[in-house]
Amino acid sequence: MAFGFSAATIAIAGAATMAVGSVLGIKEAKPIGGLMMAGGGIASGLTALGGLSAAGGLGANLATLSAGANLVGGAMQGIGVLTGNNRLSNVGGLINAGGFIGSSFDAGMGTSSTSGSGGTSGGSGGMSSMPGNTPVMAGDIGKVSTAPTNAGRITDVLAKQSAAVNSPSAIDSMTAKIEKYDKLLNMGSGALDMMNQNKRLNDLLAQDQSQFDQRLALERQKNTAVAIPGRVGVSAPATPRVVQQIDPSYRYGRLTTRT
Amino acid sequence: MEDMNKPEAQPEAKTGGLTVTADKAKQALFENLGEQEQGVIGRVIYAGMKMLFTKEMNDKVVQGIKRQDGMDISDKLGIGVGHVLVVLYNESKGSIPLGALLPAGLVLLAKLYEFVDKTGMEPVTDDDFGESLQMMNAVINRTFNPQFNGDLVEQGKATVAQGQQTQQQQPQAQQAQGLINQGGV
Repeated sequence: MAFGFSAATIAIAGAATMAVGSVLGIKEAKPIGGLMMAGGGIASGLTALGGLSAAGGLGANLATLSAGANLVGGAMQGIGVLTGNNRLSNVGGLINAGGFIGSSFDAGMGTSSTSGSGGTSGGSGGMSSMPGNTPVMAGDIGKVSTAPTNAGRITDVLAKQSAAVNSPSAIDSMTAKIEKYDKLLNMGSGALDMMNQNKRLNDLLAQDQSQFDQRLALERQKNTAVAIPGRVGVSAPATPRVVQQIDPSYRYGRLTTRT
Repeated sequence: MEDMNKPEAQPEAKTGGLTVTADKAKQALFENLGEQEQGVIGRVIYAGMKMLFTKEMNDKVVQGIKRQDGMDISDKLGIGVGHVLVVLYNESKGSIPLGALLPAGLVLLAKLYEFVDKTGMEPVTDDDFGESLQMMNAVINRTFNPQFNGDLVEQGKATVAQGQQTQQQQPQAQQAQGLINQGGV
């Protein structure tokens, strides 16, 4: 099994561009010659990203992975309302719960900690009920109620989601997704497998080398075709220097050239 | 007489099509965010769009989506966008704040779903989108937080234990209530 649409494909394309870029002393990856087809995508992506760190601060709400998860969790509840699909709201709850769990990593605290993910989101009522937490944070509800959407419905969704996230099935669902992902990776997909990446990178580079060799042979043929075997001299437009390169024993004075 | 106009019951799964759009996702996401955060996430979205929809990369993306490899479309798209974010983060040498990855991924995933839906490559639904989002979340958490799985298991154990404790308390309470009722008669 292989992910055609995988990190390997993209990373290889990028790596090839990066490699050439570094050889040529170019700091940023840019599409270069024949690699444009391979590396253009990621290169243009990086170009689009350029200057991000110089944007004048990145915002406290984006400092951690869990904060981002809460933003998505909150947004998903909004999407659930916009689309009228409660399942999407529940997914928002799961993402939120993931953020909450992840916040223990961010904060270096135990999983029962109430710090981290909750109030920092700015999302629409993202915090869900987890053991040791207030089921729905009042501040978040306040934010929800000011949104130009159906606040009552969101509150209702939040209540349902609170129960959903607190259930073993929600934990099972998240665990299952991660286990599935691990399984797919371990099935030889090679999506993040370094050996596979290297192999494919080598293939790509070999392909480039092959093209390089072909171009080189072609160019050589063009230049040497002007030399006439068995004769002292060459056809135009070769110069004495070219002939001397072919056979250094010849002297310029002995050459005959056509004009 | 049976009402002929009454609509037949439809199966719940795989119906409804796709109503999630990148615009809706962005609207819901940006609703309560400051301009600074919007700018950062917007930049990551833009970079991801370039990676997904620049012609040469999009050819590869489409090939990957169309490939018959036994993967669910939701897994494929969720993992795909997750990997785009991972590559983008790595290649940017960490200049993207971690907190921007999942929000940007939400919009990128929605855009990719729109693409798959509108081109008719595969039938996709909102539920598929939800599954993909969870998968993308798993990819990002698994990649950047090595403890995530362990934490999740611990959280699961605690939740299950709490549930069992509640179940044990309920019969005891009922039993006690029964004794009280008997005493009252």
